Amino acid sequence: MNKLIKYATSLAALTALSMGSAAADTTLKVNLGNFYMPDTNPELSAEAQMLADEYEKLHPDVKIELIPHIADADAFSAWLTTRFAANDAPDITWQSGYKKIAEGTDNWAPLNDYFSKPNPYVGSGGLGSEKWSDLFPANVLNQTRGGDGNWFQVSTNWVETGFYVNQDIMSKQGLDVDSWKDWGDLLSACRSLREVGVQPMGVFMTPGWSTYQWLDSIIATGSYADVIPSWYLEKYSNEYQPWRLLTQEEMARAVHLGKYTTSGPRFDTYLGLVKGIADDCLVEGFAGIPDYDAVYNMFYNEKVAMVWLGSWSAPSLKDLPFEVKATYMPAFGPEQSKYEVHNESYRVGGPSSSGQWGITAQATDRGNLDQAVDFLRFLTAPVNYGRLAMLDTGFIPMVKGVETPDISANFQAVAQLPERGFTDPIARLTPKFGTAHNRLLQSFMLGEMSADDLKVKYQTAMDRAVEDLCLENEGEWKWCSE
Amino acid sequence: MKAVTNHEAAKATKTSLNSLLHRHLPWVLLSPILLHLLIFRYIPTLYAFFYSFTDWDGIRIRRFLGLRNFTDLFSDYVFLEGLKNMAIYTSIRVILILSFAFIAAEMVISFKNANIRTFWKIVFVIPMIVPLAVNYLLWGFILSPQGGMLNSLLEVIGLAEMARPWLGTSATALLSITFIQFPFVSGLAFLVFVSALEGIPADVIDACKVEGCGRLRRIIAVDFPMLRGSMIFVGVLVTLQGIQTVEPQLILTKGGPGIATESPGWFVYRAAFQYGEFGLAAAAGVVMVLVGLVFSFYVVRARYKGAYDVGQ
Repeated sequence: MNKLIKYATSLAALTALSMGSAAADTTLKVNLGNFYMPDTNPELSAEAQMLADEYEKLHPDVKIELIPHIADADAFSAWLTTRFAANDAPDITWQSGYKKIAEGTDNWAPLNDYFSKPNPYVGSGGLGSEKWSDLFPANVLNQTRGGDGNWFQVSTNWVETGFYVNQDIMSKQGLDVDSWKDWGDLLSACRSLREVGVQPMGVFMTPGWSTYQWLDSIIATGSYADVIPSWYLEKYSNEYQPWRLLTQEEMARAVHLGKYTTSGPRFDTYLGLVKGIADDCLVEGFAGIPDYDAVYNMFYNEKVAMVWLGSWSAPSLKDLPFEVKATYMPAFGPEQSKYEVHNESYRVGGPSSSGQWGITAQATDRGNLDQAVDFLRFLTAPVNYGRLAMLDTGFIPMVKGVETPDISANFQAVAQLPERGFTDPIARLTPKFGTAHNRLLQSFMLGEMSADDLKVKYQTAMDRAVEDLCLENEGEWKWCSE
Repeated sequence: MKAVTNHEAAKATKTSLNSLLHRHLPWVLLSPILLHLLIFRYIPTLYAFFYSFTDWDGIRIRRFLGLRNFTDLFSDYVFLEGLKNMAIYTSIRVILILSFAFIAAEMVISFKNANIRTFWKIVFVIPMIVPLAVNYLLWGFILSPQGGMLNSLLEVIGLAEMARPWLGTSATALLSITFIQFPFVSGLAFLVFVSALEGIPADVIDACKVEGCGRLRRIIAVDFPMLRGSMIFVGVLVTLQGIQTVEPQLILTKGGPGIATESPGWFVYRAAFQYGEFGLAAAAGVVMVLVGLVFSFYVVRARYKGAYDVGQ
């Protein structure tokens, strides 16, 4: 009998112990994007793991489970959507800023209140020790704020896109990118290359996301530059940004009020520029190249003279058997667009980079919000984030107090250009509109659809997207009923 | 006397247990599979029918829409183009796969030596272990516009003017993805046809020979009719694969250029995972299921009309 009591007591003690420890433990599932991809970037992933381990030491009751990131954007999107549907979304995860803004509080926790409180991992008196948001530059905060005034992400770095040139091919044809004064010079250089059988520019274009989107946003901005500021809504404006990227709501409102329409002369200018670059510059078969890597390989294998890639590709283009020069698109001249006002090109970049982490609404439901915020504060403390930034070359750190790696510094000149006014087509109105845009433009650029036909279908797609957005934002977007 | 009765009773019990086991063993063994099919196939399909009438974002049902998802689908030119592409893609692939696999099977079966036959079977079957995704990636290299293997080959053999961006224009994109895996001989169809040809009774072949059949005559008069069941079986499988196809779009074309390679499967993927319109995706899925069911029903019904199969 005594033995039985002993066993029962031991069993009860063990059960209590295990229940006790289970109750005390918080497991945070974290997807840090490119920072944790052990198979493809072991060094950076090891550093991220080390930081997670250090955090666990500081907080023995918390376990950080890092989830390897999926590099392919579509596959990652499918994975995350499935995790949300299964009520098993990570507590913290990388996701594109525009998607977070589009999904809003349905999927993401607003961080506004937390931004205004101290980051305990910053030394006393340091930036962020009073307000966490002090660690981030104002333009980054402005650009990542949703239409409802909420911040759904912490943005720790900045990305730029660059125009890489094979100098050997260009010199052979007597071409010098530094001599280009405007867009016309670029097209003329492209034509010269085509004449001698060289494919000028590597860009790919699919109905999904593609590097063509960058080109499209520059062309659209150049075609509407004079009117873009008149589309701004007061609630998104601030004195530090007289010129900025249009928000989803501003785009939708411009369509709704007939300011952005396919029937105006600016849209004709836009179509003319698009067709011009497609005919003169883009690599033959641009609509059949599946992804970024394929374009990168074309440049690497000297199949194209120029290529438009992200700043993150710069480290891998350092040691090629030919001379590579990083440059940027020239500005539009008055001959190309009479609506241009800046005399400079537009940068395609910003805080939509590898460090854009949000906390999911499901983390709040699980009671993990405070802990998740605390881990993000730990990560973004300059002393910690600096360790990641030095290994994450190709990106420009946007945490004050963190130094920029040398290789990213090349893109700082590009970062000084005015921001594009139109964002990527997939983020302009709705993702569905983005697909329709790319599909129609593909057909038009290939000469398979007339401008008139495109205009009709494009206007329908825009109207449909605005109708959907007004339905989603019923009550908040007052202008929808105007 | 009592011992005899006990023995008989035990024997009777054993017999009845055996017969019980015999009768129910298949049920016991099949039940895990049945359970699996119910959970992962039938129930999700039934759910899809339900969700197709809703505005479902994958997490919550926002409202019931009645037939609106279906009316949206059939007024969407992209979905309709996808259906058309699916019909073209599937029809061509059914014809090509059946033809090439049949020709290859006939060639292999013509070897009298069993070892040579086995060698060819192995040669044709080994590529089956290559994952489908890898296959499509490889074909991506083959069809690549700059430095792709097909264009390079055309240049080498003096047909450079035929080189083109195969996936990069609407004129060739759909046909290009249709021809992926050319010459289609490695796979299930080939194995089924070889087995069926090997199963044709020797006396039928002999009778044909006595009648003075040549090789071609034998193929037309004996092999074709006797492989009718196998051909329909393979045809149905390939058709269902064609209806569900999404890999070439996912890996190579994303449905482009324009809408040249759209398909209902890709429409479902995009609606669900890119737009979060799971209700609409479910409706498109329901249409695909119905197309598959109707097709299979008619084909299978036709298959039993006056059919004489190998082994019957």
